[in-house]
Amino acid sequence: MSMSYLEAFKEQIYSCLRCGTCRGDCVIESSNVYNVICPIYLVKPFEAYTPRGKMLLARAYFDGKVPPQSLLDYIFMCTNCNNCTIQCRLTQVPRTDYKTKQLTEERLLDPTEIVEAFKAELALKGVQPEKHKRFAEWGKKEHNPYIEPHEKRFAWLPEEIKKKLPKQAKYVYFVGCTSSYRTTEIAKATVELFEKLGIDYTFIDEWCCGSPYWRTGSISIAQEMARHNIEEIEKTGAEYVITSCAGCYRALKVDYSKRVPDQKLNAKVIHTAELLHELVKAGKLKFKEAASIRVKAAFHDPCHTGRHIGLYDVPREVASAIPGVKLIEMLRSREGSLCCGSGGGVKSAYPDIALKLAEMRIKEALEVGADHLLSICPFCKRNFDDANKTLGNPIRVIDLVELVLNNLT
Amino acid sequence: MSSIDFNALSDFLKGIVGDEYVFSDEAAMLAYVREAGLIEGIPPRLVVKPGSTEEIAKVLRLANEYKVPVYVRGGGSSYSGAGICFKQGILLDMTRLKGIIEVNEDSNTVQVWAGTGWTAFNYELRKRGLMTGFRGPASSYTATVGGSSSVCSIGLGSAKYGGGGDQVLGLEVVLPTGIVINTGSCASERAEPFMRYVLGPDLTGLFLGDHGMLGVKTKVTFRLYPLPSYEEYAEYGFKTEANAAKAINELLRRNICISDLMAFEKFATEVRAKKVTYWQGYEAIVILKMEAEDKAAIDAQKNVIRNVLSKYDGVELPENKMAKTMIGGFFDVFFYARRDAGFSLGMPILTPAGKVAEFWARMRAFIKSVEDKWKKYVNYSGMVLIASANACESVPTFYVPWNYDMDPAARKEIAELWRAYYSEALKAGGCLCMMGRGASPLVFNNFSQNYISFIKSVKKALDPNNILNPGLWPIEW
Repeated sequence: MSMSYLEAFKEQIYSCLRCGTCRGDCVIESSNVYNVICPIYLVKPFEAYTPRGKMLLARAYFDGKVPPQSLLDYIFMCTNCNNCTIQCRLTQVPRTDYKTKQLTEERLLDPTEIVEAFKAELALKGVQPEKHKRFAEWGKKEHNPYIEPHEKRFAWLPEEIKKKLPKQAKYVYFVGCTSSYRTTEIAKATVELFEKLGIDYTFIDEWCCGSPYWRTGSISIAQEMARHNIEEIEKTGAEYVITSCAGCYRALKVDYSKRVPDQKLNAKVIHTAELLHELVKAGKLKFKEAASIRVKAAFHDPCHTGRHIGLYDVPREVASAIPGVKLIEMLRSREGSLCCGSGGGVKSAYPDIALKLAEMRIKEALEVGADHLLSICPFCKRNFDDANKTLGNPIRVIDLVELVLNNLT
Repeated sequence: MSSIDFNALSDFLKGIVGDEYVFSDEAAMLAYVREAGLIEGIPPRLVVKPGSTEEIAKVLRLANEYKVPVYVRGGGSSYSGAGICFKQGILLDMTRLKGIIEVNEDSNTVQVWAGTGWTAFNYELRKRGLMTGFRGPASSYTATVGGSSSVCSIGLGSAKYGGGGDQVLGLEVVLPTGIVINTGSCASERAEPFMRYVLGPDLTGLFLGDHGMLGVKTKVTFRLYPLPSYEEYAEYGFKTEANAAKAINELLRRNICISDLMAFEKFATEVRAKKVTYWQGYEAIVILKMEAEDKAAIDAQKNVIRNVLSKYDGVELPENKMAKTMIGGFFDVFFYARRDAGFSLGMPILTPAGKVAEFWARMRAFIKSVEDKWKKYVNYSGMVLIASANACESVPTFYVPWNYDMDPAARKEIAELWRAYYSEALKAGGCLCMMGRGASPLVFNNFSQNYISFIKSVKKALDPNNILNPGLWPIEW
């Protein structure tokens, strides 16, 4: 049976105006914000790497003018940052006030989705970066992209906590692969915070949320993972699934209902930043006093919480509530935020590109006088940590959960 | 042409601009076959992104040695068929040459690299409380300063300051043979870039609007102005198109504080009045933006505007939201088409201000004469006028189905219709500033043989090997 992921987007692809706004390096007039828009274009400044260029490559692909293998880097080198979709002249019509605008569900053109479909199309033909092929194979067996054994997923969790976990709880803490296997300090801080605040939580037999697989074209593997996780979450009767990972957040909140419509996730998906926000509003977080500014933090909006979902103010309001913490905005912020460089499988397949972008972002934080780079995504944190090392550790990279925990009485 | 060794050429070019700025992968070249319009080029063999004037000069000298065509590309947002290749050759992508070179407040000028995007340029100037008068074409999110100077586009600020060429005081140009020249006051090696009409003939003008046929612009000097402290928007309704046109003509003649003036002809007004209810009952609408150093100046000039408009029965409308949206959000509004309208193929047509009503009527008669085909493909919502100094640019809202490119037969018919429409506009005395491959044959049909010979001689003198943008204009030899 022949199958095409891209065919469904053919009309969208042919609708591209080729105005080039998605390529960026411009200032969006309505917001007066400087916006590079396509992060890859920053480091690979040729059309084939831009969303506009990819639309023309898709047309060439439909016309059989180009062999799939030759498209590998141009299509897979995309961080899925969604900036092209946000800024595309055809996605928001009419374009209204920058701050209050509502994104429509039905878009005339969604370059991010098209590139994702293009990746799936190529993967179906066996064209995928070797690293993606490897983590796809591994994901089938061990349910994570980090080439780690599934049984070690909770190795970071203290034994005394493991022993007392209930089978049912109000919250399921969905840790995510990055916090489970790499930036475990975020998972540990989250659990410590939950314990300190008396949150009723538990874990599931967690598989990867599916995000890295959806974003890199391995659709069926992602769907299998989603099905497993939904089943496991539902078993706990949880009201909420809470995650500290931006990628998991988008997958659980958007992809599960959209891509696995026949299996409903009843639990409400929230990010730890949203829980913290509720607690701040209710006056339930008691912070240490501070006579002066101790932390100057530039907030980095992860693409999957920011442009994909619109969670901009919540983490900022939490950080601002901490005495002694001064939040600073980088030039490129909120909708115009520069991607950390790691998403969409770029960190694994093109590590140099990911590192270069993270270095740029750290420099942007330093330029505005920040001493901390604050975010709410373990994957961003990991990439920033790597870049920070190559730059000689000029800044402290920290997650919001860690910042809150460090400042609680 | 087939004897050109592009691999060897690529190595030489890498030696000039650096490995990372030469791109030759065959598949990737397919991303350069189209700009925003309906004209399709061929894939370049090599894409080069130079980082200095000297590098461009070396690239052009090498191209002459190899007799290989070089096509110049700015933002790639044109829709008349420019910035793409028509023969196997090199695509010179200018976007690496960007940023302000110097703001000189002694001479009230700013010199900028030609590959600078307009919105980024405006932003940097705005931070310093400055502006350039003309502030970029509708496609300014992508369009470069060099591109708009090569096309002489009309855009933001044009009612008061004119089009893309009017505010240019001097250029640095790499001639097709690789020789670098400066025009205007900079022709003197001892003078700063501050004045255009000195030291002999206006050779700046030779390169403005040349579509890169005569040289590669590397630096552009613009006149600088302080950002106005006050701005105000207003809208006026007219019972007849003819009166609206007369009022526009008189307003432009008076040279008052109107920075931007747009107007909507009969059909354009009718279509929009379905939603914009306060436009109902008028045949034509004029919207404008006023800018001045202080509010008193605007108030005083508003009275002048009222007096002029009342002479032609113009009525000040109770709201100005369309003016705020269309002019205030110029770059946001214009280059993307409306969801319900389709893909815009409309190129602006320039006419004298006093002739617009006549021109609009003639173009409506043309549409009527091809009604069947027109209705089959074009979702037309009239003409929108943008004033430029003493002229008016009428932009037809030539919307075609989004997916027109998917159907080759439809594309062919649409292209024929598009050509017929613009041929008629030119016959009616209209002029085009966009002269890419799609439009230039139509424009050349209206030139005298003497003029064509003259352009050809200029081209031959500057570009003896015909390496710069060959095929863009019908003057091959």
